[in-house]
Amino acid sequence: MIETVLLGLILIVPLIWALGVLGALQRGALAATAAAREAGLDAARATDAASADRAVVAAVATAFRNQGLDPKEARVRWTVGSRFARGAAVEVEVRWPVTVLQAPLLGEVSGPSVWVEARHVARVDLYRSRP
Amino acid sequence: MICFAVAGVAVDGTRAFLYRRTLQNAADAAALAGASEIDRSAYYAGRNDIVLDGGRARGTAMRWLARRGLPVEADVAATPALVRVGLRARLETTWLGLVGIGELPVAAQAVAEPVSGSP
Repeated sequence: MIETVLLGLILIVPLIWALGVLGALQRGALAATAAAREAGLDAARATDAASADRAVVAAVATAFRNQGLDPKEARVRWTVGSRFARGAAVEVEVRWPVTVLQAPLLGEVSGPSVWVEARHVARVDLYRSRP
Repeated sequence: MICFAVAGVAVDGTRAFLYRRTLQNAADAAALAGASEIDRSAYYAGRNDIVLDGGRARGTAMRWLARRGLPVEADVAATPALVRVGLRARLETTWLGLVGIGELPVAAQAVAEPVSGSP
């Protein structure tokens, strides 16, 4: 009896913890890939660098909110070749911290994080009308 | 053994699903980049045809894939009408390796064609 309880605790507690972390990792990774993709596409459609920046921020916020995550914690970096011009490559990198110390029902406990990240490279349309 | 298999499906299945999304995003971006290589000589020849310059379209799609730096097998084909990008990779498993499945095949395909006018 004691052995069963002990063994059960040793097996079940890490399993529950792993399930919680896995779920959070997947949710973060889904949000990050969606955010990078949408931000890249929206930035490539923007008319200038300033509106591309706004488009990136908005797209990332939407993608994270769609997964029920707070976009403020996301780290976003985007670059565009030498200048924002037709044919240029817009590269977006999104990183998201997943707290390792968490469990289902209990939620996150502060502590170390694993960063999930996603990248997307989109091309500014060669023939789009621009102001 | 059953526990390892269940954990493997959860962990490696998720990894494969996420990696496929990454491949799909890369394939979409490469196909879109290639599909903007219009054959200008055909257009300016007076036919006003929106067709692709196959060689440049393929080259651009390949360059776009190279920018991502993903370890994949790429199959890129371009015709005057479209660009097709197919990506294949094998994902090394973690837990599923314990039940004899060392790799999972992951693939994605994207097709893009040029259209005139605003999207």
